[in-house]
Amino acid sequence: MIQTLYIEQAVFDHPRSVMIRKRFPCASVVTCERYGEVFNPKAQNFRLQKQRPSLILAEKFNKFVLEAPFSYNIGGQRNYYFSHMLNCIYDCRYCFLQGMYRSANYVLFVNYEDFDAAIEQTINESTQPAYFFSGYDCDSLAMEPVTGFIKHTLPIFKKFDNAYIELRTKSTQIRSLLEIDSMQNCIVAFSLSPDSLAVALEHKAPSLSKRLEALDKLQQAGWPIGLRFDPIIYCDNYQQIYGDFFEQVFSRINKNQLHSVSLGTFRMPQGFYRNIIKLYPEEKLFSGPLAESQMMVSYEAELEQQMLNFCRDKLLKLMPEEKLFVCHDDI
Amino acid sequence: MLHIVAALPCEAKPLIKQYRLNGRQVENGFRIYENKQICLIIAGIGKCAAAAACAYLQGAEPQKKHAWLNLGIAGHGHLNIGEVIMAHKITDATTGKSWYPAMPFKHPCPTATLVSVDQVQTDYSANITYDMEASGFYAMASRFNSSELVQVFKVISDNHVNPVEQVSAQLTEQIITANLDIIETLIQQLFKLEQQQQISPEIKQFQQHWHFSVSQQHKLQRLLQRWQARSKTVINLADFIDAKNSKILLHTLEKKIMALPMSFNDK
Repeated sequence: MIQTLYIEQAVFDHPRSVMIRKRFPCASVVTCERYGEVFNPKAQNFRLQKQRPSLILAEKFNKFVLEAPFSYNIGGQRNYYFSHMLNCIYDCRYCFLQGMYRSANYVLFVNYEDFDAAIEQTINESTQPAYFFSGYDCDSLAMEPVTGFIKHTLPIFKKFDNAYIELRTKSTQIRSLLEIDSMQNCIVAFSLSPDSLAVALEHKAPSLSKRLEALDKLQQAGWPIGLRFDPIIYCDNYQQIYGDFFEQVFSRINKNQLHSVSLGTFRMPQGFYRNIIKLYPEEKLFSGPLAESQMMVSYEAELEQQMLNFCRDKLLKLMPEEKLFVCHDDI
Repeated sequence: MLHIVAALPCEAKPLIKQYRLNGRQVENGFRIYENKQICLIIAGIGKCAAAAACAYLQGAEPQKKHAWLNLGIAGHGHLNIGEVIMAHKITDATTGKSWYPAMPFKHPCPTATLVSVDQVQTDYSANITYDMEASGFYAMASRFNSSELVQVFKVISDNHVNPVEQVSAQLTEQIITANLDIIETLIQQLFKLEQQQQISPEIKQFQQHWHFSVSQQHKLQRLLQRWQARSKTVINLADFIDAKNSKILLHTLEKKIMALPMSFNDK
């Protein structure tokens, strides 16, 4: 439950701000000039704030659509991302957001129409199919009942057959998708981890079985499904754990509905990593066989390659190669 | 440790009594009362005094991170005398600068915007809380700890019906005493948050046996944290006593850590 709502003065009376205020009638409402006054100050502790984050309603002025990092793709040549929201309701210990932002508060940019215009412009200017990723700085669906962003945005993609959108999620908030006809250019991509790792590292996120249930409902409703095995986490018996896990997941997958699978090991920009270990020095994940190289922290090169090779080989026994994408170390 | 900054003796008195705080015998500049968990300083009136009091307390223990609370009286347009607020926004009336204390805990009382002024406010027309210390307190204390651990709590002492001229030391004591339960809840919340700030594993026992450069100290600190994360047992110095120097020790420690099990099933 949101206890404090910070609202930029300029969007205080925006219809979406009004709607969200009504949704949290007991929340303290605090006005500010720019969201950065609340979100950016140095003297904040992400870990403490994560216990009860506030919601900040703001207006975004530029950079609505950005080019995605090189290896962030699921088969397209033109890859973009947009962030209508910053931060996530889940608390996954491997997430780079904890090292990137000082605040754990959620920021929602309420001027969706400006995102619409930028997305349409990008599609129109692209000579090749354009792929958009919405779950880069937040979970695409987890806050959907509050934001309604996906419900607002998907109709844009209905107008274009050369544009794809990926909704990346761990959420079971799929009602808004089940209420509409499935779209072949909207891929609902579930981030999945073996149960033991999900319990240990993906705090506040739905369990693996709940995610698989949601995935099942969506594929039955005709939505293309993505599987995101990223990050793969090292542990002593990772081969056993991930081998069993892939079998478990693929036993639930209708291969006709499977759009893509992506795979990547744990990796993090060095600066973010250093921030995170200050917040969570006791975290087992960060006590593993990690190495720093070229401003990135990841598993030692040989181990990383072993892990990727193992997972790739296992997956290729369960799915076609053309649908598998391996992500490397650019975030 | 919680540092409480109050402007006046009458604001402090109920807390001194409640928490059995003892006055420091030898002190120069400020009156300070304390027990093992709380240190209360009487700053005097105004933003500068509040900021100076914070700096004075922190200066005595520059390495330590404490929780901070500014507790005192304030005026408000319509709130009743004795009602309480925590500040969710503090604005300095002179500079226009604002601070937003983060409250990642259940609010023990309503929250409000607080404006810190230089002169006593006698205009009660606006629906705003006024005080004379919070902005100075916050600007300084938030240099020493993160905003979740720096809070401002005010008891309404004057409003349009009972203007500031009617505020007495006796009334101040009375309305703060009446809210000690809420203050206690807030103090407990702050203690709870403070405990979650990470305390690094004890490296002193290692420093007594080997000499470490600054960068080696950082490495040792991190290795001990990794040991804590991976091992269920307390590290035993005797296992490393053969290490001839700090370099060998760090290498041995790292090797031992990497040999520990790496499993997530035990969480």
